[in-house]
Order: sequence, then C-alpha cells, then structure tokens
Amino acid sequence: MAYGIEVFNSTGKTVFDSEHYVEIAAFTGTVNSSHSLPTTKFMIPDWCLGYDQAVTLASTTHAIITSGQSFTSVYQIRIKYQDTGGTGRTINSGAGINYNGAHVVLRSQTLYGAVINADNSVNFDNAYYVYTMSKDMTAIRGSTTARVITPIEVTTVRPTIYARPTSSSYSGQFAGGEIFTLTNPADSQFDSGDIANAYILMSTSGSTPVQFEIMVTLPAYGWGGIAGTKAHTSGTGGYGVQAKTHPNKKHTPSGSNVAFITYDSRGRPAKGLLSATKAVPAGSANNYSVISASLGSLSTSSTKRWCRMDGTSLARVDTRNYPNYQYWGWRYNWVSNNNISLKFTNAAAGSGSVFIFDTLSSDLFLAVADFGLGL
Amino acid sequence: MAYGFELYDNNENLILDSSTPVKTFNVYEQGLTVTLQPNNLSGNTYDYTVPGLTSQADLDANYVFIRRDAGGFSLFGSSSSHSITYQSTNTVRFQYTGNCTTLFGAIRACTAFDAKTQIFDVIILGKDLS
Repeated sequence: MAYGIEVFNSTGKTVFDSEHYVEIAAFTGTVNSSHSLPTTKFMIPDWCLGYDQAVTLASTTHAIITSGQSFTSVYQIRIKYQDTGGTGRTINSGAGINYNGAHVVLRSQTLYGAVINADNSVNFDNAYYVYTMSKDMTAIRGSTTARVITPIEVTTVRPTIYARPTSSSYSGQFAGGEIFTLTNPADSQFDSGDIANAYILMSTSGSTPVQFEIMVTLPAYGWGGIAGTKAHTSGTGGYGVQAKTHPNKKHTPSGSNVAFITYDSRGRPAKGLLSATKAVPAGSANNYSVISASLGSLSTSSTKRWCRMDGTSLARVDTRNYPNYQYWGWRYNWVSNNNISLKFTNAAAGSGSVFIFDTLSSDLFLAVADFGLGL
Repeated sequence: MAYGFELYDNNENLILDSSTPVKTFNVYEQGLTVTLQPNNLSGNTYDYTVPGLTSQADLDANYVFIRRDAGGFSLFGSSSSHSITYQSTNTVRFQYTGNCTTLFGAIRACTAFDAKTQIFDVIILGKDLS
C-alpha cells in the first residue's frame, strides 16, 4: 500500500490495513436449537444490517382503497398504485406510512384493479396492491383518507454469523446461520419497531434443544456505520486505534461522502485459526454418504473458539423419498473447544439452512475463529 | 511480545496480537452477482479482479468466494454452479459448470434459459494486498 497503516502478523499476513475491511463483532447473544424444526429465532437488530445509515427518500401520498381484494390479517391495507399526482409506484419493504409508526413488511404479488382497455393498453387508475404492514391497520383501512408513504434507502451490508455451544461439555454436530426475514407480524418474535426482522436458526444432531452462543459480525465499513456505542465490544470511545479510508465512500447512493472504518480497536476482529473451503463431495446426486473431514489442529486454549456458519447455511436436497426430502450439507463436529472438525451429513427439514437444488460445486467456507479473551 | 501490535480491552483482555499467525478476514466485496450462460453459448465466463492475486495456489490459500444465493429449482432441469479458477495476475475466472437435463434426468442441450445467477461474498484471508 502506498499510504496509511498496515499491521502484519508473524508470518507476514496482514492483520489489518487502512484500505481493506476487517470483520468485526457487532452483536452477541444466545439461542436454543433443536434437531428437526428449530422454532426459537435469534433476532438480529436492524442496526446490524445497515439501518443506522438508512436515508429517507421523498414522500408521496396515496389513496386508500376501501373495498376489493379480501384481507387475511389485521396488518393488511390496500394502497393505490398511483400517488395523488398520478405516478405509479410499487412501494418497497421498509417504507413508512403516516400511521402509528408502521412500515411496509410485504407487498402482494398481484397488482389488483388494473383494467385492460379496448385498445389493449392498461388503465392503472384504480390499481392497488395489498400491503402487509408492521402494525394493525384496521383503524385506517376502511377510510378513504390518503396516506403519506415515505420510502427509505438502505445499504446492503450483510452480517456473518458465528456460533459455539454454551455448554463446555457439549459434543455433536450443528449447522445453521442462514439469515432469514420474519414477515409475519403476528409472530411472537416479530418486532414492529424493527424493519428487517432478520433472524437465524440453529440445528443440532441430537433431539434435545441445545443453547448456542451467537456472534454477529460485520465488515468494518458496516460496523463503522452503526450509530452510538452499542456495537463496541472492547472498550469505549476516546482512545485506541482506528484505521479509515479516504472520505470518498457512501453507505447508500443518496448518502453523503464519508470515510469508512477499516479497523477499530473498540471492536473485536474475527481471527481465523482454521479454515477450509468445501464443495458437496463428488458423487451422483441423491446418493451421498456421511463423510468426516478435518479442519486442522487447534492448540489447547481456554479462549472460546467460534464456528463460522457460512458453510453450513446451504444444503443440497436429496429428493429420492418424496415428499420426505433430506438435506445434505457440511456441519461442524464439535468435540471440545480444542477439537473441532467437519462432517458431511443429512438432516430433516427446517434446520436453519437454505436448501439448494443445484450441484453446489461452488465452495462453501468453513472456519474456526476466536475474538480474543474475555468473552 | 518482542515486536508488533497488541490490543487489550478495558479489562486487560488480549484482543489482538500481531506476533501470532492468526488471520483476520478482510471483506473485499459483499453481494457480487455473477450471471453465466451455459458453456455452449457465449457469456459462459466472467473475469473478476481481486488485489494481490498471484497464482492458483494463492487463490486456493487466501481468497474465498462464499456462495450467498439460495439457488432454486429449475423447471428446465439445469444443474449447475460456477467454478472459480485463477486466470492471470489479479484476475479470477468464473465459469459455468454442470449439465442441462430434462426433468427425468437425461442430458440435453443447454439453452439461454439455463443461464444461472449466483451471488458471492469475497473474503481475503489476511495477506499483503499492496
């Protein structure tokens, strides 16, 4: 690098530099898992998904349609496609409505009320979508009073999930870590004040729920975009080391130019101890065998090790026994804090991974890391 | 330590020590979207630039392309992923891999409907990128 700060480790690898973004811990907590259908969600707060840097865009006003497509919940409302100026707008998730602090959770797949004219053109004058909102809409959806819709623009930062069993005596296999979005406002874990309602699930090889500690990390630019001190895990402000880029970056297209953080001593960086990239093993589809694989050796240490869940978040579908599909993928085989390996094995549905129908020959990333002492 | 950089939190816990050979994960890009046509059509490769890349061995050891898309079921029976190999200094090549099959598993000629889009996060496992 031609300028800035760079720190190397003892083998000449870059620990951090002021031009590239280290992955930093932002949020931690615990969640219970179960084997087949984990139902307890680990909710990830909006500020871990870049919402502290969301930009409010220009508002528009839309009529409310008081009759038409039936509602299936108290959270739904019909909003006219065209704003009061006659411009058609499909309102995206996250957009606010001037009622009780609610926002759009989902838009219906169908645009209702559009009419085909005699000349085959389409008349959108009375077209509308059914929107699922974050709060009860029954008080306003029967009134023709127009509502103000305020879209937002959000960066695309995506967290990475690490997990480890809470109990030091646990042994078994676990997977999960795919980030899902909770779109049912009636769910007990839905937070109407949270726009993304992002969550993960964890699954294990046993039938008994197991508690896992979860660590949510972000690229340093996303971590640096979090307002206040809520993501600080190694201390408070006012001292330490911070590396930044040139101030020519933007969190969102409509945001202002800022310097992005590339490293900050107030956060804890993920430090890879072991890593591997693994594809689904060779062999014909739907004919897999359980495979054990090493990630390498760990030194004996009391510092907590964490498993990076990327590589367990995709699973190949075995469709032989329709409709009882099985889902094959890589899982961490945890024996102890000093003994972690891999196992390619199957699981039932709903195990916290996303299921994929292609050959999955693109590599999956599996790694063991720690975040230093004191966790 | 004899040299380097140590970092402690406010409880004197050691957070970072540059004298040990751990690797930090540098997040080079998130959400890289790559659409490839099947191998019998043009557009079946895509070249992508990463800093500091010197060889296939370097790519294998220090660069990670994490699959992020959820895939999906294809009515056309396509079964593919993107392979990623060293092409030249600082350049990797994505290429369409796999066959196109009928719903019953028989191999058939691929068409433009078999094009695949996949999404990746790009991680560099701690190396000198200057």
